[in-house]
Amino acid sequence: MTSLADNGLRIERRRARFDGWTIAALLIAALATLPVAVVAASIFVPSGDAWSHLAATVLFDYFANTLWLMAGVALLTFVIGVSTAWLVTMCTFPGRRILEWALVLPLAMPAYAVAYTYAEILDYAGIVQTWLRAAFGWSHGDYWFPEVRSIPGAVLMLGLVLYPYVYMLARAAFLSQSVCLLEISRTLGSGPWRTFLRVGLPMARPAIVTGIVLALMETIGDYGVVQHFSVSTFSTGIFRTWYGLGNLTAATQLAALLLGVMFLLLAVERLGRGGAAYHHTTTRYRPLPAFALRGAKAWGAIAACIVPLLLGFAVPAGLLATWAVQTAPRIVDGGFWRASLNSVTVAALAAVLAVAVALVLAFAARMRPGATTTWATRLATLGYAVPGAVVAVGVMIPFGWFDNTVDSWMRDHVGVSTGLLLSGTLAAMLFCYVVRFLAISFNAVESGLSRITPNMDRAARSLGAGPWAALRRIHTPLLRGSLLTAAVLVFVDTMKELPATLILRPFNFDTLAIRTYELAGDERLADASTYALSIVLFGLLPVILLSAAIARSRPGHQ
Amino acid sequence: MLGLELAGISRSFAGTRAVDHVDLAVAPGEVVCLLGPSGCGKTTTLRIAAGLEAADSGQVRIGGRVVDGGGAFVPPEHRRVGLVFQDYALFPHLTVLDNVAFGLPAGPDRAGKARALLTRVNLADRAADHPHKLSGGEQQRVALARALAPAPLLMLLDEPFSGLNFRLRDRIGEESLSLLRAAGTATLMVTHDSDEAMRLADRIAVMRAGRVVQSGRPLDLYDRPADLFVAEFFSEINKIRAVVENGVVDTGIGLLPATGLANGTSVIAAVRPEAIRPGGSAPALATAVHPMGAYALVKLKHPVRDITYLMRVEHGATPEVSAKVGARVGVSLDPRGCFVFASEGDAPGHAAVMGSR
Repeated sequence: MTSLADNGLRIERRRARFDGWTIAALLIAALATLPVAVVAASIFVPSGDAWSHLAATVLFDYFANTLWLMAGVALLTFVIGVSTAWLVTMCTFPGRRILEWALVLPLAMPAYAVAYTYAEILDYAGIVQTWLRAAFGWSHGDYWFPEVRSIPGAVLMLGLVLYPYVYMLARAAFLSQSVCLLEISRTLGSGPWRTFLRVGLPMARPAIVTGIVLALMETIGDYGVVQHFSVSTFSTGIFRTWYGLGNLTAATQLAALLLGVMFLLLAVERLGRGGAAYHHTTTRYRPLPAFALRGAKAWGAIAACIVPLLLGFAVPAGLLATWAVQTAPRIVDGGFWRASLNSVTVAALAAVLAVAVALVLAFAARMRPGATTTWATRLATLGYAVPGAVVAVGVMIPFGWFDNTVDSWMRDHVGVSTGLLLSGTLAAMLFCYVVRFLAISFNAVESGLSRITPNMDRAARSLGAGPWAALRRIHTPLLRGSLLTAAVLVFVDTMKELPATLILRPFNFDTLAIRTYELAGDERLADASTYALSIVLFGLLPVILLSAAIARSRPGHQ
Repeated sequence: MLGLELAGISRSFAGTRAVDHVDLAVAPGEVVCLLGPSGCGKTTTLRIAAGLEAADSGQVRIGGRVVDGGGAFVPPEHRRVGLVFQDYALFPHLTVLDNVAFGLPAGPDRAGKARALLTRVNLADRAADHPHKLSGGEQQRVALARALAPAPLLMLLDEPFSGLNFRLRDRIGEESLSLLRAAGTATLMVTHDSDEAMRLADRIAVMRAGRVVQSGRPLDLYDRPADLFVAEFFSEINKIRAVVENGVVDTGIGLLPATGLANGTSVIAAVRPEAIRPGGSAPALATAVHPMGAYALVKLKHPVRDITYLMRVEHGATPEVSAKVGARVGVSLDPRGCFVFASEGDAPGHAAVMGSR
């Protein structure tokens, strides 16, 4: 190594502890943690009567409703996600290949779009009840029909679009399980069904817990569904307290409680992983034992996989498309194109920014491995767990403070009012999106980077390529796919994002999500359909990427 | 005979015969090794015995009961077989004790039975640990205890010792198999390691391309191999191409009887390195000497013809040979380590004059 260094290569040069990379990582971590820290700190600020009023009236409802939602969504995503994952990985039946990737499709649907669609068709005036009345000659009060605008209704909507998180992770876990373990279980006297319960399921437990926790994070962060269904949760409470009561402090404190729920979830996820080491005790792969299902069993498996797919994707997407065909000629006007352009612009900027920041963070962690960068990356990527409304509130407060401080200083010393520099601008929105979605881009970039071993760098440089040439000839081509994946994921999540966009958007700045929300709120669902469908079409991009990735995830699996 | 009986087992994958009319029997308390190179069908045979694959034709009987064949198929969970894989496949989410207890029926003495088995493999103190905390040898013993727990009629071992380092391998192999013999379990073990099979098995069945080429007691296979493939599976071997003349084969360093082969037949004379003995009338040149410790390998060259030989000399037996490269030595052949096979089809691998693996 000394001789290499003497030759001027200097690959392993020692550096000071706090150099550029470390400082960059710490800075990113500090900025990304800022909104969460602001919200958490708000519990120390007195908020006057509003808080005791909240506590006396609605706080219990917020808690109870949020908990019911979480319990329901956890159960529903578990049942749908695990059963479909087991069926498509361990059994063969007609249509399995198609269902295997199609089951991810509901991920492309924003939960609020599904909720709007079902509310429209299942309401008293909706086509389903109208048809029932016409077919059976019933009139109002003659029959019982479940109320979709309810907690169970919200659970169903969220469960139908969020189960793919559990499905994908459970499927990956089942795929990575050694068949040897399942075969040993068979020879020890357990049939296929008991083998699933005693070996397959427990070994996949950490992945399943992670999937459910991801679904629950989306659930507690949801605003569109619960608002439309008039279910009071923390999310709707934050909006109501802020916009209705005009009390930002109390709203922030509600956000802090929601943050508490989120940290509880993270702890649950950690606990779910703990105990036994789940890294695999065996590395041998064989083609998975495909239990060939025939006859009634095959039909049962097909039905079990198709029902969530129909309800979570085909029906709402089909209805949206039908309505869009009818209303598009009227809806597609200047306003639609402006909203589309805004959505695409903001999402593209957020994607580029999130990927760039993730690159810096990932390189810092690679160049300066150690406790400092580890913690910096952990903190910086915490935002994925924080509901959009909470991040938005946490961005709003420091940005507002900054604007006011600059403004008053300028007025005192220069005599000029600077007004709002950051609040209510694109900058605030983009900052919020990057905080929220940095984890997504970071994970994609990091997994890409991990495939480039340090020895490749060393080999490239020993062959005469300088650091920049190595970056251009080795890293860039190898990273291109990961960077694209990261950008697409952030792009689509930004497009779908609703609560933070509602809070932070500049005045009169419309996006596809905002227009969908507003039109649906005005009970003009047919008019909203074109907007919603546009989001779904963009949402299909990462779903295609994800299905391709999971298809490749097992050596030798067909 | 009880234990395991395979009668005319065949199995094809995508048109390729992986197992081709295999007949094999293992008596209770007997250890039979299925030996062969990778892809010879030995693992598929094992999986058919376990019920993890179904045979296309033929019959499998375990403990006298037909478990596969004639329309019957008993799934693995009802066959009373134990299975140990090369990588042990311990359940990572269960403790050592729970791993061993997995196959035992629920009941008050379940944990007690599992504990007793752990004691038998000297791992009672690791009962509460998870598998990843155990060394390779300990994991192997847990896997064996787990497979033994439900008292199987047949134990199937798939390369069970090849994950261990070679010093541990001998000891654990002998301990494991003596446990199985004592339990009276019929044991079928798959391996590609001929030394291991030689050391551990009561009988060996050598497989090649889906067929059992030869089976018998280890030394019978070593001393009377049915063909060149079996002969060279157990040691390095000198292969000398020749033609039968006057009922004998000339190896260049001695004549071998060509029993049952007509004059003019192309043959390959297979000569084990230890069958070339220093001290004799046949001249040869030592071209290289490789001391191996207990013995030395000496490369010899025929003084005139283009034939090289590998000779094995015990340490200290003939210092004058191992001392000098380039020395002229006299050698002789021990017929017990020499075999003559008709060269059929002249596969390219057999055309080489010197055997090397």
